[in-house]
Amino acid sequence: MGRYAIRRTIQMIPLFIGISIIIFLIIQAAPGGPETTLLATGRFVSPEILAAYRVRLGLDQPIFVQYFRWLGAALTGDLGYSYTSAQPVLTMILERLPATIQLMLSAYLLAAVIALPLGVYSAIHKYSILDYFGTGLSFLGIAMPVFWFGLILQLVFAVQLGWLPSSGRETVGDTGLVDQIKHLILPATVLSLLYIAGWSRYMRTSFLGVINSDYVRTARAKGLRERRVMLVHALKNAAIPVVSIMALDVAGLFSGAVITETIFAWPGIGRLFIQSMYARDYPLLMGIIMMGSILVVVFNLVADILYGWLDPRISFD
Amino acid sequence: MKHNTWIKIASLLMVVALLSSACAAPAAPAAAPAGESAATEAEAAAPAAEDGKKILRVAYGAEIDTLNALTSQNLTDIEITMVDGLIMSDNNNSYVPVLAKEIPTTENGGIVVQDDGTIEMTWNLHEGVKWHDGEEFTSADVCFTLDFIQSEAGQAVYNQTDYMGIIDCQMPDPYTVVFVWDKVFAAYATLFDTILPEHVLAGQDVLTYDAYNRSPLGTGPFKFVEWKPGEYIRVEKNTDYWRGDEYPMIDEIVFSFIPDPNTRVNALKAGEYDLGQILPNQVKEVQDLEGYKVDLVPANSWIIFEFNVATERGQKLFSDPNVRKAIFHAIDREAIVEGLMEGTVQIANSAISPTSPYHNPDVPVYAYDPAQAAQMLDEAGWTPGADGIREKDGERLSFTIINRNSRPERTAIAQAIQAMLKDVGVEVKFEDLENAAWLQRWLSTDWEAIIGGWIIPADPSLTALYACEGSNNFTGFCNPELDAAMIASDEVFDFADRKPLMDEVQLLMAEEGRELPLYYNVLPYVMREDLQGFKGSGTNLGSFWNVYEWSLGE
Amino acid sequence: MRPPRTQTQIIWDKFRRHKAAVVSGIVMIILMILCFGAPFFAPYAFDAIDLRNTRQPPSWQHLMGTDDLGRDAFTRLLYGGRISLMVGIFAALVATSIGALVGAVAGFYGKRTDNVLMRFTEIIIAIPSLPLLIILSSYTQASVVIIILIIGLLSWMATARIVRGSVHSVKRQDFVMAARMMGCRNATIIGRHIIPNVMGPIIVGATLGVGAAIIIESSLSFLGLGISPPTPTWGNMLQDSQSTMSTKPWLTIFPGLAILITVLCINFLGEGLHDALDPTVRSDQ
Repeated sequence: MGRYAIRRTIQMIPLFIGISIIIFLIIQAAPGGPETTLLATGRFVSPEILAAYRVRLGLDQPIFVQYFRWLGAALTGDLGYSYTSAQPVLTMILERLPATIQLMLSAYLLAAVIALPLGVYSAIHKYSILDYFGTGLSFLGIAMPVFWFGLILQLVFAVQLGWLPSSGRETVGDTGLVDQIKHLILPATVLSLLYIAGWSRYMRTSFLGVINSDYVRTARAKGLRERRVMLVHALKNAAIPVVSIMALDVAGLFSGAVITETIFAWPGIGRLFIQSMYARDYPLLMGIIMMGSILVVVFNLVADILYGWLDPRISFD
Repeated sequence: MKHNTWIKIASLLMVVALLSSACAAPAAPAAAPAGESAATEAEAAAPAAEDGKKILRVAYGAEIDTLNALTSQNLTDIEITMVDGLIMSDNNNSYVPVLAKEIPTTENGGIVVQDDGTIEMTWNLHEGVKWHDGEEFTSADVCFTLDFIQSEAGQAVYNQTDYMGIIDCQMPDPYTVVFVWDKVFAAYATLFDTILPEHVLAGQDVLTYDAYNRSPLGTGPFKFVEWKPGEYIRVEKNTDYWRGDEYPMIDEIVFSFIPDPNTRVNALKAGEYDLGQILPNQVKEVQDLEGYKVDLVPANSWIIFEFNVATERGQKLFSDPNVRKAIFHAIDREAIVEGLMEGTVQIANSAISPTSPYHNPDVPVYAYDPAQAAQMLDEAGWTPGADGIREKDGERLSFTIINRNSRPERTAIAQAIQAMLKDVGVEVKFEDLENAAWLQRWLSTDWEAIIGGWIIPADPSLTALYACEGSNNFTGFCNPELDAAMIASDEVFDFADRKPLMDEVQLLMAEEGRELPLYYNVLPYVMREDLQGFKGSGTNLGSFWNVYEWSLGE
Repeated sequence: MRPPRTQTQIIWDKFRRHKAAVVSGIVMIILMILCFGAPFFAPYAFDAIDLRNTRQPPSWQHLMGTDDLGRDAFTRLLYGGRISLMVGIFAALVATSIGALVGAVAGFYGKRTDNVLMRFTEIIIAIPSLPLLIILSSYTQASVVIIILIIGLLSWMATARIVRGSVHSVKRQDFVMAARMMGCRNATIIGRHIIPNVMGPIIVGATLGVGAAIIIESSLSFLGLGISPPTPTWGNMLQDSQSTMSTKPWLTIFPGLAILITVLCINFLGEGLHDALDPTVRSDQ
């Protein structure tokens, strides 16, 4: 398995290069260029200045020249400078990353803690009132657009009840942990809802599949007590595919963060992406999406390895 | 294998939990050293936070690119709290001197025409003005700023070309600066809204010099404290402010970035902020908010419905002024203003806002009259075809408005216009484009109609927008008579000479019927009732122009 | 050998047991009739603007009030539902078909095929989907077909992976081994033995996909990249109304509830179908 992991890691290099080419092309092919931001606030700027701006950014060069320039620099760890802020892209990303990771992992843990027991419970008490209730509740999470539900939560918990702050990551001047957690609650809840339904469903499905399978019935026939059969034999086998799904979803949270961060004024990567897209800030866009892609690829690998590690029926070939 | 799997899963969750807490922890110590007060008291409470400091909390919409006011593509509200220029524009659309004692005019002798046709413009500067680091502000800083703007790097300054007429910058003494202009430039008072500190920036690449761009040094009422990317920018009182010890009257300002307008409203409603700008259609949401007031600041911005004749098809459809005027008569602007905009804005008939002394109220008005519209179209030869849409020479009177995804209120207006024009047999289609894509399309002049809008400085010059060769005239329209009036208005210095020329410009534009002004935009600001001294200004320099005299509380 | 009628009977019996699914099915049928029959049921035209009557609260003339341009919100809800449901269903169909095919082929053939297909899947999966969606949506004016294709082409990967995983394990089970030893052709094995056995996860994926596509469409609307006005969708109705959420709540609550109920029902329906179709789930549990 160690060798498998190493081989997969080596395979990632061409993968990253492939991804970077695709992203580079997709970004640059989008209509509009960074020079259009000069007009974005409604001020007037002459076309000569706009053209000069493109030249200054090197955008008059053929696309493959631009790509190899980017790649060459990126291989040495230089992701270039943002067009809009003139800051190194890497610095900007690293500044925003902790906030995104904090939000993602909070949401992830929250979702896991709720979804897994819920899935098992639903499976054991299939078609009971509580199964429907739990299922319905978890479905509610994916049945509401994030931006809409986020605003409703703000109206209820910040505006009406005044229990929680509406947005942001901290109250300025307050360094307390309590304050941080209060700011986390709403965005993390919204983000976790996206996964609770999926995970609890997979858990339920997987669990049902397992408790109906032959060896569990065999175990039951052997006279082991029902509860023990369920919890020991079934759970761990049922959890295998779910854990692999969960590992994959760590990366998916990055997408979820885009809108959640915008709605909750959370100072993370997702919001930076929206900004850079709006401004066609190519180096920043490239940096953010590559970073997101690396995250996905790494967790994909983790998922694969986990799947094999947890399920001895799978062999790595 | 049996028990193994369980242990594996549990250990996995442990790792995730550890990672999560590890990431959450380092976030804390980075924050401000403002004391360890309990979280419960901090929000929802009055602005007089710990140790009685008066803190103004601003819910700010735009995320800032750089704090160099000259090269920023954002509005410069935040920079203005820290950085002064020679001038600033006020709430009456006039320029007021800041670091200059007065704005030079021919009347006060500050502007002298030389024998060779060049112009000498003398600015007298305040004495004893200190940069935030204690260095003295002098005329050398002004000339340094000019040098930067005129350099190649100065292309990043959006109005660089306006400065290019200055051919020499002289410093007779530390408190006097003389610009020599090659010819008259009427909008001279719009320039130098920011002065850079020479002693900090000399020899640096200004565009990438973070020590300035991330923490600017100015002479303004507030000093830079902290910028947390994506979160907030904090500035504190400059105790050595040149206007005197009584200014500024607020101890600290925090600009928190809240890009989503609805979140901004919710945050204001929750009492988390003291001041924030909202959208016109959100005014009703906060009108009755206890402890807050709403100020509808008239913007130097007018929203227009305009056509393009740069394309062949555009020529066919819109080159006849009577067709354009007929279409204008079919548009019920009152219904748009009252129904869609809920009466928050005012109908416009000319490009220059009534808040400007250059506004001309006596121009032709395109009143809503669908019957007249139909008649005019009939007379112009456009008669209803089989499907009810008018036709002439095999061409249908049908055109496409390009909509921009970042301006939903304009897309709504486009839909209203679509419905109104359908009633007189004119078909409107849409093409909805993402912001940057829209801008590119618009620049290319390959479009038929848009709902557009401009923001102009307090200076009324419209030449760049409407002259035949105007740098931002993307419509293909060209009216030599209008050009003459506009160019003449740019080449006089005094209000008395310029006003009649600008009146003529507005009159000619209305008569030509090139575009239909819909309304003057407003910038609604929500603020705590006890915020005093706010005098909102709708120019490109924004409403923080007099932040030094704002006060909070009694 | 059982006659096929009985098989259907068994599935139907199992489905009926899932009461929430049955109720959801009925609700969905009513919703679809209302939305797809919008021209018959809607009291107004969906683009009938009345600027003298904007943002009216619900009344007998306007059951759900009027929007910022004075259009009847109930009418727009019905027409909007037509578009939203279409986007959801077709995007999920596109995604599921691609996903099931890629997953089944990769899982069954293994080795090189698996490697190539999964590397390809990885590239697509690796680029964060929402940013990719946002970039692609900026390419052109968003029509219904374009939105369906963009969403569909970017959301098949999860299904592919699940199916591949399932096929991987099913393949090793005795009956497939037996079929292979009996000399069945690969295509036959995939079609007869493997697909029915992984139907459960496919259906779970597809149903979640319909809901997800409706939600994604609304997210794109939130960013201004959804289907262009004046065509209503539930997503752009929500977007248009969110700035007046507390003073004109009816404008945002009805489309919000429409999405909520629809996605909820679709998911319950999927549950029921899953339990009914999965041969390992027994009706006697």
